[in-house]
Amino acid sequence: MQDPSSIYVDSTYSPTPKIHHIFSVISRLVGEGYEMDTADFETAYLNAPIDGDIYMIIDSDTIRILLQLYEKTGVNYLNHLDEKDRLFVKLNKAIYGLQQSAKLWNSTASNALKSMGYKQNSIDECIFYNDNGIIILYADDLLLIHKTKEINDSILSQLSKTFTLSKTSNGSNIFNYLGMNLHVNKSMISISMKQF
Amino acid sequence: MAMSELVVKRIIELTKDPLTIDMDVHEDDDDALEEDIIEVEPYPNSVYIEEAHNEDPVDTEMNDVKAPATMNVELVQQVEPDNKQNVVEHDGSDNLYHVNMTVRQARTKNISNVDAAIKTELNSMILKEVFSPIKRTDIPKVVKVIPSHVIMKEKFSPDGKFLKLKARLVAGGHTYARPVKYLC
Repeated sequence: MQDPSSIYVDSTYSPTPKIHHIFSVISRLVGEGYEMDTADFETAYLNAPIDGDIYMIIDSDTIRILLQLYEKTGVNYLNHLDEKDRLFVKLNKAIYGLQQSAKLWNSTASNALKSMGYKQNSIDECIFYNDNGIIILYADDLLLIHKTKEINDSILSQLSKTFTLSKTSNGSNIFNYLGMNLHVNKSMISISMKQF
Repeated sequence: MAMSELVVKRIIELTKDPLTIDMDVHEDDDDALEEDIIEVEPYPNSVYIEEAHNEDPVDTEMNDVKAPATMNVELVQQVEPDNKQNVVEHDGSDNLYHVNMTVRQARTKNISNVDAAIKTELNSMILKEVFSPIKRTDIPKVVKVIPSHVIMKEKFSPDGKFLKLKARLVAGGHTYARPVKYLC
């Protein structure tokens, strides 16, 4: 059944945290006075390096626009077109649409968090913790809960050295995470999905 | 239970693989079925999305299979354009649903900034060095070359206003072999 000429991917599984784990972490730690923050990795998959050689062909309509970008990027793709005006490329990063992209991104992100001194929870692989607090990683959405706001900010600035991050909350007590609006008050945390 | 049964049926229909046909489906064993679906996971997109929209609301409430329903939303971004006829179209009752379309469909819809959207996407790809050009002769002959497509998507704000058009270059990852892992 297996075609020997084709690409074979060993594993494509990528974990996501269970929603009740997220809720229990939020209710416990924020209830104890921890500070919450959320952030989002922009074009997350394109940060993950790929293992193995994968070659892709780019269609003519896209090549036309690629060639228009010549002045900006300085890469001349004209030299690389073949006699039928096709462009072949070798992939360096986990592009959207590959089967293993989700797994590659997940291992890239979790390695980055581990190198910052976080331990991975053995039950939920998307929850990372150390003495200062907890980070939850849902694909490309980050939820940080730490003792002080300063720790949250320092972790975000540390991460933004290697990744492009965008903040999804605007400094108020309302946080956006996974399409939920989390309103944090002194006495309670309420969840709403107003924008839907 | 109804939903997981449906999904398993569609998976069996889609695969002509003898392994899946031999698969024992125990109707009572709901938990096992859910695990199986997660393992088979890459069977994509269009199947799940269609089901999510055609399902009766009563049916989805009956079973607590919340996980596939949320996964659908994630998957919409990565819809592979292998069957262009099958692009998900909402009935138009509200604008909030983000519809994926091909470049040609975007052009026929008279959206003006198609090229600009593709340009920003390609620019970010080049900045991150996602791909490097290679000569056809340098690619080993046994290796499969996968296709690529540009997918367009209109983004709307929560109150239904058109925000922007987004382009995304995706690889046709469906064309190469996927690992076969069944836990039955």
